[in-house]
Formats: sequence, C-alpha cells, structure tokens
Amino acid sequence: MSMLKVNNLSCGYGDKKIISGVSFSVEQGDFVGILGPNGAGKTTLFRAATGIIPPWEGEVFYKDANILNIPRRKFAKEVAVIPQLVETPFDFTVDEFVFLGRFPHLSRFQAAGAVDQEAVLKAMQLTDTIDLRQRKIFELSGGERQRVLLAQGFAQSPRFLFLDEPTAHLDIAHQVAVMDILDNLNRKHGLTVVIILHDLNLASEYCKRLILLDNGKIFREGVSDDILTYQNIEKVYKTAVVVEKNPVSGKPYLLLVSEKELKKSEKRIKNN
Amino acid sequence: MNNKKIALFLILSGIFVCGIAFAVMLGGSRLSITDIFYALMHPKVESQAATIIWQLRIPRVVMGLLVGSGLACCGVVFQAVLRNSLAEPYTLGVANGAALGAITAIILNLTGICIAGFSFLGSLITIFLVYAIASRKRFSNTTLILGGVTLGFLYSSVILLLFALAKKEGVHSAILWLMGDLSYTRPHMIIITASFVLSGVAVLIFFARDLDIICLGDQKARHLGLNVVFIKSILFLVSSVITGVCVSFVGIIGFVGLIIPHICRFLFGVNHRLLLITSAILGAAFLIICDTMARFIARPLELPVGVITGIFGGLFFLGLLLKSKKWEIF
Amino acid sequence: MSRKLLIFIYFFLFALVGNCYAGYSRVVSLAPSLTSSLYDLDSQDCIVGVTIYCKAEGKQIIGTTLEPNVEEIISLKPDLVLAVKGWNGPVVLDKIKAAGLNIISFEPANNFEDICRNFLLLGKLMEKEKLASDIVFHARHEVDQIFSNAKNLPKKSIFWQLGEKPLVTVNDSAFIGDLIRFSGGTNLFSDLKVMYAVVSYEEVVKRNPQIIIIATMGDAAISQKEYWLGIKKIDASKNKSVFIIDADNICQPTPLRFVRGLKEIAGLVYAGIGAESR
Repeated sequence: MSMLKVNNLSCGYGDKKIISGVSFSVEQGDFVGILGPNGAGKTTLFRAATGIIPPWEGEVFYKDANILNIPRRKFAKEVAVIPQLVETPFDFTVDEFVFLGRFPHLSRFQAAGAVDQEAVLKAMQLTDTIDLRQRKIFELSGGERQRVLLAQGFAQSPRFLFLDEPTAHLDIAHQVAVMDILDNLNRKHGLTVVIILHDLNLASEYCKRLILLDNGKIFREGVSDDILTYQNIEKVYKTAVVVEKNPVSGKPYLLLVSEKELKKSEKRIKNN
Repeated sequence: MNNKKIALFLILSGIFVCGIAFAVMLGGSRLSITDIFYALMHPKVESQAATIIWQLRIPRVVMGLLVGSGLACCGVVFQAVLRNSLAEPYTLGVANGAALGAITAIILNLTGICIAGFSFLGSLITIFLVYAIASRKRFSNTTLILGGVTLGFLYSSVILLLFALAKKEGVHSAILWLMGDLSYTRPHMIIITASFVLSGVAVLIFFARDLDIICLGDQKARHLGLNVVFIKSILFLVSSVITGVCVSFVGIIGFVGLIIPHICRFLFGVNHRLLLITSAILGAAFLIICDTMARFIARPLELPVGVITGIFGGLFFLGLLLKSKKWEIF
Repeated sequence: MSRKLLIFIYFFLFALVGNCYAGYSRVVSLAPSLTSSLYDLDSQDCIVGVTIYCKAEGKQIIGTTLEPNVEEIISLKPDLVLAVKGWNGPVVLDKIKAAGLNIISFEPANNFEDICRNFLLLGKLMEKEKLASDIVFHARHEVDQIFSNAKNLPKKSIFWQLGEKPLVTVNDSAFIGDLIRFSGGTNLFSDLKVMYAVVSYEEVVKRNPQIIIIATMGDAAISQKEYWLGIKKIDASKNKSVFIIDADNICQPTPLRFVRGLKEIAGLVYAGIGAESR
C-alpha cells in the first residue's frame, strides 16, 4: 500500500485546466521532490494532493482511501502541510503558534497534556526555535518565521509531510539546516516527505526521487541522475545549463550559463 | 496563565465590580448613598429611591452588561474570522439592516415592541442575504466582506430616503435611535436579550480553539483539520444573531465591538478562550460605565450612549495608541 | 341690523367673486400650520400647493416640509410661497428665492403672542385683516378666560412627553410652554436650557409630576401610558392622570388650534374648566 497515490489527476481553476493526467505514487519513507518551471502546475498539484481543490478528473488516495472521503481531522493527524508562508493578523507568541499544530489531536475541551507539550518541545528543538519561545511572531525575521512554521508542522506529529518551498526565504546556512532536519526525520524516523523546490541543486542533494513537471504533465520521474541532465533541463526550463557532478556527494550539480557566456562559447565552437 | 495575566485578570474583575457600583450609584437623578443602600437592602419597601433603583437603574445596568459583553465577544469573533483587526460586529451590514427595520417602524409611529421586532426582522433578513451570498463562495472572506458592506450601503441609502420623506419628529426620533439608547429597558427585553447573549456567547466560547486556528487563514486551517465552511457559517450566524438582538433593543452602540477585543488581546494575548471571557467582562464594564456617564454628565439631560462610547472610547484608544511602544495594528 | 347686512353683502360678494378677491391668488404653503391658518381665514381657494402633511383636500402636493419639490412649486406659478423658518430648511428656502419666486418666511412661534402675531400677518397678506383680527380677538378672550379660572386653583406639575424612545420633552420656551402655563400647570422641566431635550426616566420619577401628557401618536403612546401607570410611585400614576392627546391637532401653532388644545389640556388638568376631558 503506497502512502500517497495520485491517479490520472487533472484539475485547474475556473475554465483553465492546469494539470492533466498526472499519476505517481509515494511509498512510506520516500523523499520526493517536485520540480518544474513557474506555471508548470506544482502548486496546483500540491493543492489537489492536499485536498484544497477538488480534482476534475482522477483521484488522490492516501493509504488507499480517497482523500475527499477522509474526515479532515483524521487526515490532519497524519498529514502535515507546510505552505510557504502563513499570514495572521494577530501577534501570537512562538509558543502559542507552534502549539496550534496540536489542534488535530485535541478535542475542543481537552487541555494540553504531556504528550502535546512534548510534541511541541521536540518540534522546537528540531527547528532550533526553543530560544524564540516567548518572542512574538511579528518580530521574527523571515528565516526565523520559516523555522517556526516548520515547528508548527512538526508539532502535528505527522507521518507524512507536504512542503511548499520551505527554503525560499532562507540564507544558504538555514537552507541546508532545514533540509538536514527533513533528511534526518526521513532517514531516522521514517517520515515521508513530498517537497516542492525551486532550487534544483538542493533537490538533487536531498531528494531520493524527483518528479519533473512541464506544462501540467509529468515530464519525467526518477532519481536525480536520470532527471537532472542538461537535455531535460534545457527542454523544460528553456535555459542553458551545464551539469557537473558535486565533488562531495557525487550527485548531479547544475551550473547556470549566462547569455554572455553562451554567446562566447558559441563563437569558440564556430572558430574551431 | 502566567502571573502577569492573573494579576491583570484580577484588575479586570475589579473594574467590572466597580463599574456596576458606579452605574447603580450614579445616574440621571441625584440620590443619596443612604437612600441607595436602603433601597438595595429593602427592595419591597416603596420609596422614590427604590422605584428609581429597581425599576429604572438596575434593569438598565443589566441590559448594558448583556449588550456590552455580547458586542465585545462578537467583535472578537468577527476579527478572527475576517482576519482583520479593524473588523467589528457591524461590518457585515447586520446593524444597518436592523436600523432600516427600526426606522421604518419609528416613522410609522409603532410601539417600542414593534420597533424592536421590525429591527430584528431587518437584521435577520440581512443575515439571510449575506449567508446566501457567502455560501455560494464557500464563505470566502472577500465575499463575506463585500456582500455585507454592499448591503450595508444599500440600507443606508434607503434609510436616507426614509429621512427625506418623513416628518421632522420622525427623523429626530430615528436619529436618536441610531445613536443608541439603554433607557427603554423593560423586563421582557432583558429576558430575551439574556437568553440570546448568554447562550450565544457560550457557543462562541465552545468554538474558541477553532477561532485560534481560523486566524491562520482558510487554507492552513483546513490543513490542520478544521471544517472551515461549517465553522465559519456557525460563527457568522451566532455572532450576527447576537448583534441583531442587541441592536434591535438598544440601537447602534459603536466602538465596543471594535476596541474591547484589541485591548484584551494586548493585555491577555491571542488565546481565544481567554480572549472571549475577558472581552465579555471588559465589554460589559465599559458599556455600563459609558452609559452612566451618558446619564450623569448633563443631567437631567440624557446623552446618547453611542456618542459617549465613540468619543470616550476613541480618545482613550488614541491615548493608548500613542503612548504604547509595543502596539501594533495590522 | 344694517351692520350685519353690510357684513352679509361683504361675504356674499366674496363668495361670488371667490375668496381671492384681491391680493394673492396662487399660494403655496410649506407648513401644515400655515395651511390650517389659510383655511381658518377662509382663503383656501387661493391655495394651489401644499405639503403632504397639510390637511387640505384637492390640493396639489408639492412634497414634504423638509423636502419640498422646488420644480413642482415653480410649475404651479405661485404668486406667493409661505414658509416657516426652522420647519423648512434654509437651503430649500434659498433655492425658492433664487428661482425668483415671492417667498415669505414666518418666524417660528414660541408662544401664544407669536402665534397671534403670525396669524395677523398672514391675514394682512391675504387681505383678510378683519377676519384675522376677529379670530385673534376671540382666541385671546378665550385664553384669558381659561387662564383666569386656572390661576386661582393650585398649580399642577405636568410632564409633557414628546417621544417614547428616547424620552423627549420641552422646556417653557416652546409654545407648548404657554399651553401648559395657561392651563394652570407648571412644566416639570422648565429649567432645561434647551428647547427640546432627552431626559432620563429617573429624573421624571424624582420630580414626581402630577400629570403626564403624552403627545405622540399611535400604539407607541398607549404602551407608554401603560408603562407610566406601572410606576406606582409617581403622583400621575396614583391619580391615573396619564393622558394621550392628538398631537397633530393640538400642537399646531395657530390661534384656533391653540385654543382647542388649551381647552383640552385645561380639562385634563382640572375637570370642569373648558370642554371634554379624556
């Protein structure tokens, strides 16, 4: 039984179909990266897979049950969805904010128990946000906020984690830190991760599998060696790249080519 | 709750008790302290003070407590659901609908009961219309706000039309109704208001955790397992009905629903269970203090309480805004 | 005998030729009190336009007192427009003046003398000076009679209620003050600094009126009366002296209506003086 199974999924907004015929499955313990240029349909796929928008065709199954039929609360007990940002009009403390992640596990009048306190504490330890406990979220920097968002997601004690570009606003140190946390949870605790990433090199480094979307369809799926070739990237992203091997990990590593350099090398080839 | 919050809560309770004392001791007519205490101890003994205290002042204070707490709690809910700290119970047009109903009844020279009845009918119609519009779009905030505000404008225009056609006295009465007035309190009004406000606020407190989650936005709330459409519709209905009942009986008393949630959030934080309880207490105290001032400042003239809440509340809040370094309004 | 014959011929000629024998023949009235005064002066045939609140039959309605339709007024080609300052807004009056119409605005009447003065002025305009002065003379006479009777009896305090929610009353500077005074009463709130004011129920109870007069209309007045009767501590309830009066008829500032109102109120205050009591 796969954890997540997307079956011939098509959907969009209004009259516009954004993704069509998308099928893939995610097993337990997987670490899947969803890649693609802007407008390829990553966010739409994300929303459909997490039950925000209904599919026009096809189905999404979580543990063999159609997600539209799973009660929201039950789903939220196992699946945590971390969007890019959460805007709230009120200045929560970090403590209160992370605690909201426990909502699916608490009934209305149940007070927070030891289990909940522990989950919150652990979540904040993992994301290095313990020191921020009493701070207000409006005061936090972009990077701190992103880590707090992650903490909130972890506090849900999920088995399955969806993330939408969690590293978008982070400096390189924090980017690596966040991906390391996810990697750790995935390898040591069996957390299944599906993550949308713009940074192809990060995806290459950490994801076990990659799904490359183009124009609403799956262009290719597989391991990074298969996906991150210059032919694939140039075809989908329509920009010139050079693919090398990361000297430390051996994974594919993409180098951008500016127009200036491209013209120079074209001239060189001509002259030879 | 940490120690600081406990201390603040005790101070709040103190303000509440003092507010009640203030409201019973001062009023439109001068009564000596001994007379007041005697009347309180011996309600059955007929005296002028007893009549004033038991038949006029106390019902008015009770009504003020109910309406103040009701409006403040509705303010908390509207600000959370609409995710906007400038929202308040009158944002979605319920008060305008009630006003239209009441003004129609006033111009037709109907009794006080009919005015309240028409007014409540007006608010119910508005609630129904906004609900119908919003439910088509899954209660998205944009639809709620646009629907409510547009209806509000429509009603205001019709009200102005009525003013143009009415007699001078009718217009004068209608304007005074609009400014809010606790003076007409009869026992049946208290019973009806109490049943709606107390049960309504209890329901809102029941959904306090959901209110916490709704603040995060519709999508994140859904991801955390909240049935957003259901919760929003319940919260909207309950708080709109509470608002409708209050406005039908006492007119439009502004500012309570806007400012009390702000103050309580600043003092007690965002946890909505605590926020609802403290807002109810502070809202009740605030309104009866303002009403006492309305009766007392220009006696024997009575000023409209809505004017006092607006001016006094406004100045107080401006002062807080300018003095506080930590204050943030988004 | 010959004097009466002269008067008869005078009126007969009037009836033949129409009441608008000389002077203004196309009058627009912008206030109910002016319209009733015109009827009292037997000049109703000169009226070509009235407000919706005026009691007039078969006359063109030109709008409300607050919002008269200026174009409609102009289309009637009046040679005189009558208004009352305060009843009609200054903006409207300016508009009518700017349209080139002949408009005369009366000062609002705040006491009986003002009422008489306005009526005499109107009589002069409509060339019915004799009739006007006769009416005023008789009115003054009746008022004096009632007042002199009432003067000798102990004064009763009267609470005059104009509004139900909220509670509105008047002080002595309105002509209602004269109504109260001539009927032998004192206004419970004569110390108010403004003419119309919202007062608290508490203060009414404290000041303990002997009579309460409710001058609003409709069911509102009835429920208000029941409410007062339920507050047993005030003299007015103890003596069952809570009365509802027809405000439209009583509260118009014309001499005839003033007298009618005074009779009714005096009758309420002291059974025996004046006509029917309710």
